[in-house]
Amino acid sequence: MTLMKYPGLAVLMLLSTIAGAADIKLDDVWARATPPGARTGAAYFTVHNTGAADRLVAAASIVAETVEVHTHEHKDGMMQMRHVPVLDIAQNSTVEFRPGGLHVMLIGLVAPLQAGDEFQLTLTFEQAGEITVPVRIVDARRESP
Amino acid sequence: MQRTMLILTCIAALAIGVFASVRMMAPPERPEIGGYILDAPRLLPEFSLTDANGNEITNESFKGDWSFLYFGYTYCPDVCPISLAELARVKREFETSLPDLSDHYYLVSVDPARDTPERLREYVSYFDPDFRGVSGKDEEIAKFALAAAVVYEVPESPEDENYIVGHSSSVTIIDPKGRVYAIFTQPHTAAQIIEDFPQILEYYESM
Repeated sequence: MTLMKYPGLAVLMLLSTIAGAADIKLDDVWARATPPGARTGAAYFTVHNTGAADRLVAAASIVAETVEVHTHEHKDGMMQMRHVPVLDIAQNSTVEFRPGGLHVMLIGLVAPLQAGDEFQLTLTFEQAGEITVPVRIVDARRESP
Repeated sequence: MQRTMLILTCIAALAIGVFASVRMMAPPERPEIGGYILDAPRLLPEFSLTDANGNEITNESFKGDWSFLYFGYTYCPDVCPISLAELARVKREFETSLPDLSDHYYLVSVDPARDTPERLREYVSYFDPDFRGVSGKDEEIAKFALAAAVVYEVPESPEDENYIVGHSSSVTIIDPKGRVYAIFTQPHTAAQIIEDFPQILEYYESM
């Protein structure tokens, strides 16, 4: 494809560069399969921002009553989970959600997360808007995600 | 000639003697691990808890085996399942690499309000059918945790049932004499424990 054929697209691309819009992409999206009866779960992914600074302001999914961004802090010899209501995503940056660090916490699971299944997770960014991605459920006892 | 031989023999004997006594006097070197071995192993204080089958478990119950303990809670979505999955890997590895080892693996829940024995059983057996869950009264858990060098914080009056518990993320090793012997600190991966534990065992047996 050449841009000459799609002048509209070329103009849009140019405009988005000028306006400095956030350009957010997510990959490596997965969640840990949960033990029977579990009430909580965690999802992980990598945020690639190839545009201007943005902020992750909300997360939602039908698999849990509440979905929040959490991080871990080492404090007083403890691993302390902390709710992060607004997460800054710097311009041209990569933010990794991973076990033991930033994660999306699924609170009040409607049903256990079964390995091999998928569910939809919607993340809301202040600039980039809502992004919905499929989340692969992985049995982290056996395979590394 | 004979005299020279005698002197040489004496010198050799002396050298062997000195070498042997130096070796006997030198304490075995404490291995470096992904955490630490206690200067003086700490005997567990008296406590009474409940296992996931509803049976009493006390400090005495830990005697006779090597125990690998993780203190946490089942509503923990991240560090606890990671740690238990790592311990399950350790257990599977030791089944082949240390077949004579008598070892047990425990999740000690610091959140008894939500972690009933049934809940605990369901949770720990997901990681390994032989894993043991332990919990009980707050003050009894506190005694065990203190000895195991674990700190934790359960909110006193949580807003709802989805409260968060802060806790040390470490693996405490109890020796067959029922003493806290070593602590693996973060990230206490299976690979680390698998590599270090045989050295702990060797050190223990040399003492």
